[in-house]
Amino acid sequence: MSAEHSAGTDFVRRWLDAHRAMFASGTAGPIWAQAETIYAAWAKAVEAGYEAHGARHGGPGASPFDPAGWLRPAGAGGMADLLRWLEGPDYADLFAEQRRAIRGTREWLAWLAAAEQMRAVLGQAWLEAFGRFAEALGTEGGPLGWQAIVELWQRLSGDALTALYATPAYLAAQRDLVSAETALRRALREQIETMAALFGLPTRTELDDVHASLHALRREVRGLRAASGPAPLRTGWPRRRERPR
Amino acid sequence: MSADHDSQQARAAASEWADILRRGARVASAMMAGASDRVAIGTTPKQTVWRDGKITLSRYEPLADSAPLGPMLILQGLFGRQTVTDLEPDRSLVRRLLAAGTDLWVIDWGNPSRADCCLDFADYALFSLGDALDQVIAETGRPVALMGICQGGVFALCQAALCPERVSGLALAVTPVDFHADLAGPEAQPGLLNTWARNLPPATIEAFLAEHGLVPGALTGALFQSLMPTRNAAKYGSDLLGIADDPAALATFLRMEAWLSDRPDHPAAAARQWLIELYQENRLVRGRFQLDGRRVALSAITCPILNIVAEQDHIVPPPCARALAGHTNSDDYRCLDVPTGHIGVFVSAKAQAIVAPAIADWLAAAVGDAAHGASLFGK
Repeated sequence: MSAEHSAGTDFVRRWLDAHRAMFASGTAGPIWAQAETIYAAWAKAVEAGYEAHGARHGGPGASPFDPAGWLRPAGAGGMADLLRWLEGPDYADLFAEQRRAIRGTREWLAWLAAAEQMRAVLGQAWLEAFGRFAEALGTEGGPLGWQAIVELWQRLSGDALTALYATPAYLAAQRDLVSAETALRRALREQIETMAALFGLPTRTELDDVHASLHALRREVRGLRAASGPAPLRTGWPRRRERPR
Repeated sequence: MSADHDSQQARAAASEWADILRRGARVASAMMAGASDRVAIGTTPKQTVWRDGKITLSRYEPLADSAPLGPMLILQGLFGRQTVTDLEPDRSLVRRLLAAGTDLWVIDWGNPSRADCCLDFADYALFSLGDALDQVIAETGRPVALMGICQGGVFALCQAALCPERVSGLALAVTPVDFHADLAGPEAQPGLLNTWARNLPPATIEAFLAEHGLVPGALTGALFQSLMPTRNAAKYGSDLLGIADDPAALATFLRMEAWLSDRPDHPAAAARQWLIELYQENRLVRGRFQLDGRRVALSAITCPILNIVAEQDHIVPPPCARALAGHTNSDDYRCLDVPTGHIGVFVSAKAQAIVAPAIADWLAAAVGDAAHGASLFGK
């Protein structure tokens, strides 16, 4: 925080100094030099701010600077507030269908972004694996047979991917992808169930409710049976054949 | 010199490609034939003796003159099929146990669908398993040794802790008990599956399960395969070409594929407990795991235990399985390290000579008639 703050005040001070110098001297050379210094101070301030921000926002999409988060921003503030402002307040069922459709599209785009993020993370590992593969091919003495080449590639790419799978970047992309896929499914299901309700068709939610009721009933019957004494062995099922001797 | 050399190299390359094509043709031919009954798995004869909805209990027909060992009930978890214990006659834990004289039973959880989304650990580990055990006890008049595989081992532990009178012993194979044991201790090496399960916030898991109603078997299969990312490339490439001239190896390969492709969906309620309460919160070893309102206390388990651990397990890190040692009150706890991976415990040629004899010896010595069992494998 203090480094970020001092870099920021440094930038303002240098900017004011540059203007003072311009008016005092009327020559361009010193001003240009000052401008370069200002740019360096500005870049330092932005970098410090970005790093501080990155420490506060872990995964992809969590930061307002990350496009992955623009469609489904987490929490409050930043893009989340901006989206709420753009969409406006909910007035009962006014434009409810349109809002649902917009949400569905947004979730679809967010899922595409999350999938792209995952591809980018995986792509980096493949590139590294390919680099190591090319390097290893160059250092191997003599031509290799197809089996040796395939084994070398499998080993290097396997190592690169396995190492990647435990990295924060991969884990963040994985979290985001699962979350985006689930949100997309939910948005689409809500749209479909709205249409189904219009025509009186049973919905997934209703079926799940039926299954939950059945499950609860079975548990209750089991409890009642247990309370009424030891359950008799069930009959009517095929008994085992006589064991051959 | 260089023209001759180039010509020799070209001939060698052409010959190599011709060999690849020949092997590829053989593999394709075997796969076409594999569409018939050559890839049948789980073929050891058995009789279904009880059924409850999709769940069935079967008793294997004996292969020995007498069956002095057992009864023993094999139970897999919900992520894979129990047929892995009976892949083919030469790689069959079931056949070896039957040959040793075990009265062997098996429970099949069937194919759960979205209609089963509410089934949780209590339904499987306490109620259905308990009902099945009652059937075995009624037939044999004896408590039953449970052979739990992976998640099935956790089911077996829950049953043994809550209803010890039904269970004469526990043979657990590749069973996770302390789900955080990969993070601490001398063997600490974070398991990839454990890391991924801990990575997702509980709310994300809840939302995913609510939307899907189950964990699709295809997704589970893809996750397991991605733990060894380039293994598939090798398996369907160079490995397959390498066994093209070995019909028996090809048939085994196809049977393994048949097992892998038969991966059931996992009901949401049970998956929620598995991922959040066990993988994330590690409730089993913390004494906070509850089934139907009853706390599962591992310390209540006093029966003999044989804990089979795969040394190269990439799905259940060995420390997570070995951790059982310190959590029960069994006076007879044994651990068997097998130099294979998670599935290799049941299907690898190496494990065939280790696992079944160890279980039969344990059944004889710890659970049943020690004198009879000790002679089974020439000891």
